[in-house]
Amino acid sequence: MRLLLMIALAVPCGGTAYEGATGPTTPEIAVVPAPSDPPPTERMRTLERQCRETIPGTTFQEAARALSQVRASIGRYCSVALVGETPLEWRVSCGADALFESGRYALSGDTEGSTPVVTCDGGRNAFACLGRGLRSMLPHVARVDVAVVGHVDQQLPAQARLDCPELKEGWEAVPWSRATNTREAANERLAWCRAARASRALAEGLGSSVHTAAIGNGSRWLDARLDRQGAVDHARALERLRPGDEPPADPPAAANCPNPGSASDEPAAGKCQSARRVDVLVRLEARPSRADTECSRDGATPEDVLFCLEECAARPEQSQSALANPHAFFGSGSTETRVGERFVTRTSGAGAVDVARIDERLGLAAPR
Amino acid sequence: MKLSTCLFALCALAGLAAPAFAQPRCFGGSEPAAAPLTLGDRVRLDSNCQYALDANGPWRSLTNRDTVVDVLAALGWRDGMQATAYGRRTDAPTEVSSVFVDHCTDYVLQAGGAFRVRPGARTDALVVERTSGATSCGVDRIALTFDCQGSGARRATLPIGAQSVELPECGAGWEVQAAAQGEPSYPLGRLAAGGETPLQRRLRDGGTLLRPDWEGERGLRFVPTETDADAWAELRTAFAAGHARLVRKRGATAATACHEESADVVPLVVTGGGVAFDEGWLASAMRDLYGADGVRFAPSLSMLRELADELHLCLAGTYGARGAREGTGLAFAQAASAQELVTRYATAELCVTHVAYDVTPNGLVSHEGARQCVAVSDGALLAANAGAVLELPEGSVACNGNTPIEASEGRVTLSRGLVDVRVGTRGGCATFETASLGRVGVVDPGHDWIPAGLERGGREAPADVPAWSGVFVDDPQSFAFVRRRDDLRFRMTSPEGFASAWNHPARGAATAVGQHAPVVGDESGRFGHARPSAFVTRLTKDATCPVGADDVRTAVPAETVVDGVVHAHLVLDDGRAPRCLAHARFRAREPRVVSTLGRSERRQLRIGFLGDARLGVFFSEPQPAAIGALLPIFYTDLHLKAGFLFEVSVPLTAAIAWEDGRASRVGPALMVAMNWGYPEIAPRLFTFGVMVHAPWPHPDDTVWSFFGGINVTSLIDLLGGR
Repeated sequence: MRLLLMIALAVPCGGTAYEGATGPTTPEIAVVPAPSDPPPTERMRTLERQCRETIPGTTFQEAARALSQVRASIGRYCSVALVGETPLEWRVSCGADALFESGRYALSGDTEGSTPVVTCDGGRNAFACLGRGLRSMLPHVARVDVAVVGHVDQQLPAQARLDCPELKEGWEAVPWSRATNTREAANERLAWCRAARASRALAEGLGSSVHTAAIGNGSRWLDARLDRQGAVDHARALERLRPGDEPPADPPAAANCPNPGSASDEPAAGKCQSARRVDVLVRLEARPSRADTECSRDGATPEDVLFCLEECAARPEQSQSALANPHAFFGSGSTETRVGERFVTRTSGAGAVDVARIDERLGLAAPR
Repeated sequence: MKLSTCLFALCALAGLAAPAFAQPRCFGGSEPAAAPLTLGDRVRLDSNCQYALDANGPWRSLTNRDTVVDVLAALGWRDGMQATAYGRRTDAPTEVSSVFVDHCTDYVLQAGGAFRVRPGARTDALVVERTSGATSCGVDRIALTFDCQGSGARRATLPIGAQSVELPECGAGWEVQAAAQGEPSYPLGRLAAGGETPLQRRLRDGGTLLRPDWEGERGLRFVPTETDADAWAELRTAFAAGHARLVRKRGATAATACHEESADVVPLVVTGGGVAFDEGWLASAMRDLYGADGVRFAPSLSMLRELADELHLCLAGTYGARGAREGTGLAFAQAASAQELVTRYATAELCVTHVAYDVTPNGLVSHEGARQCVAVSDGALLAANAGAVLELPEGSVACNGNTPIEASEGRVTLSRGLVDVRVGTRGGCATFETASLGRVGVVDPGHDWIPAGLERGGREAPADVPAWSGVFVDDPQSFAFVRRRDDLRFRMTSPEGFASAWNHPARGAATAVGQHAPVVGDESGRFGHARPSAFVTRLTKDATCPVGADDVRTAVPAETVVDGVVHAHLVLDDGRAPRCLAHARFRAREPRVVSTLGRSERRQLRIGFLGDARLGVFFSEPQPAAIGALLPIFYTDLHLKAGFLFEVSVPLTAAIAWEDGRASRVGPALMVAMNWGYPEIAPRLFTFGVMVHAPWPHPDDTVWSFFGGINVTSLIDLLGGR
């Protein structure tokens, strides 16, 4: 009994306190040192060298003079505009119906008995006159690059087997070997032949060989680019419009004819009258002149190269002549004679053709 | 002399000149043509003609305009349009003529042009002078006007006949206009003192320099916004040269911060791809905010955004070649599009499908809970039980400190720890160069919810409830507690870093995470400004999760009668909606129970010493009855339904015989009894049993008796005595 009592009294004293259990931990993120890259001091040096080799201001004066002369000469039939701010890149757009014989690639005045539409001193057509105008620039530039784009949207070729064998010479590769007898193919050939004819006339006017690309934009090129249905929808919405109604939203950009358009364009009816033309992109590459001054510091530290760059940039004449050579459109791109829906050729010796850049500079890039 | 000839002669006398090219039709000539005109060249409009700014129209009549700029102005020409006016006769609308501003005009200020620009005597001053003898492009007939825009707008002119003009410094550059006498002005562009480097030009043009990008070597970096590679190369060099730096100063404008000595310079890692914060600096910023635990998680999106607001990009005004010039201070948030840090994830959500647990002596029993989603832009911080399922936003990863947590189809089953959901970068979980989209503190009730007020000594608990190990067990579903010995007090542990993150003042959380999960009930009133605990324990009579107002009112204190059941609920209040994380069940019992046997709550055999004392009546035949008491020294009982309890015990008994008042039935006995009482109010109040005992000391005592009595402990409880 005594034992039982002792056990019973001892029972409540048997408890213990909680002892914490360890659990999983959240590890710390360790700092990993990461060094900076060396500063691009060599690039700064290159920029400074470029800064000291500037295009002479007289080159711009001459380019502006040539531009005005060309506009005076062919401005009735062609729009001539600068691409960007520099006078070293021109966009010339000439309506084809006035300059070419209908359905043919021959320029008005080419054939005996036909009267030239545009004449100038030494030129019998707009492209030759353009070349004549550019001739004054030859002493001032290292090279002249030209891209000629023929547009013949829905133009019926004079012959289903239209070909221009005499214009297929002189290119890095001939655009086609045998003319197929379909209207569509003939339309594409007509587009290229007009571009080739225009570029030959331009080279004749210039009197010097230039790197040239000839591109033919036939009906199929415009079909792929123009949202004719969008244009139709917009036109219908306009027709249904009643007084007081909210005007419909602008048509999609792809529902417009390629720039520059004209008043006779009716994209809703499938007509882009302005897409019967020849565009010429002219790029003048000026020769930079060597600077006669050097940086007043010799070091190559980041501080030094920035000082030298600023010292060059801060010259007043530099601030006024910051216009640079336009980007080249030869050198990288396609070497094929067929790019998408169009024929693309380049004169012998010219580099690959950057068709996208040409389109972008001419305002022909597909709208987004 | 014809009238037109007279007019041109008069014009020449007046300083205006006849153009070098033949005038086109509608502009003074007879044939359709295009002609360049310099400023001041005369035109003669034709009333039979219409005019337009585009060869396609719209066409309108025009009179009384006599220079090309005048005509252009009348047609609504603006700077940026081609400076060409078209004209056509109404009777020959297809024959369009045009005149345009000679392109030489646009370049008269270029080097080699009709005007020469050279440095002035003072810093950044310019002198514009006419080149002697220059008459081309009609420059001898034009005056130049210079306008300095910005603060303290100024104007200067170079009139016709004047040789030069000195222009003082103009930070924004001079806007130059040219005009022949009496005609509207024609814009020639901008003239700045000294050219600019690519970066200086980029800064003048304004806009953002950088934008956030998560594709850096380690993760977050700020990359140049555009393809101006020269400006970017210059900025990198400027950082290396100390001409560009990033400083941190809260509440200051960039202009003042860049001039203050006390502003902290932020160390950067500048690579060809972009600019990144130094990782050590980020770690230090995290420690400043969160203490030592700050290095267990990445900075949140909102923290980065706020950090960006305190940063300023300071650029030297000059590299030393242009004299003393004021530097440029840019608010980093604007210069680096810091807003994009959060806008990219503005609609992203962090979702957790919760799970709740019953904590039982046999381990955890899970129940699926509700799905909870929060926007990551709010700096989401959730708490969840282990076993909950986390859905990761697209492009994110889940980390526990520096350790990646494996996800399956964008889902992660959570384990205990602080889960940091971060923007997925190349640095993975091992870098600070990322952003935390949200954090989830994952607790495990078996580990973290600790019944700290209970004495231990029972059997070891299963592995999934280590915090409950040693707590006495009453039945397979219930833990035992003894009123006089145990206290239903609970402690709460939480994963490292969780409390730091939760309690950070910037979060403004309504509750705080501490070491307690205090028992709360229906207290009302004001309790000061300290935040209540995020984890609380609520005690109720039933197993329903007590998160409603009514539930709180019915919450019961821990003092309950023997055999009474108390449900404890671990409730999380995260400021959104209180939620039960876990539940445990306790039964009150006598203090000296040494063991329980049985697998069910009902058929539970309890073995103990020193049970409840009873007062009652002993009776047997033929002896007379006696009044007495018994105290079980050893007992075992079995719970039955409806308040019945079967008992076998070894009590000590003592009684006084009813008839003669002599002692009776004194000594040990063996009793088999049935108890009954009203559960929860007065359990086992009545006892009726039969016992075998020592027939001593009353001479009439026999070895057996019946006993009917009242449980003294229950009676005192019923009377409110304890």
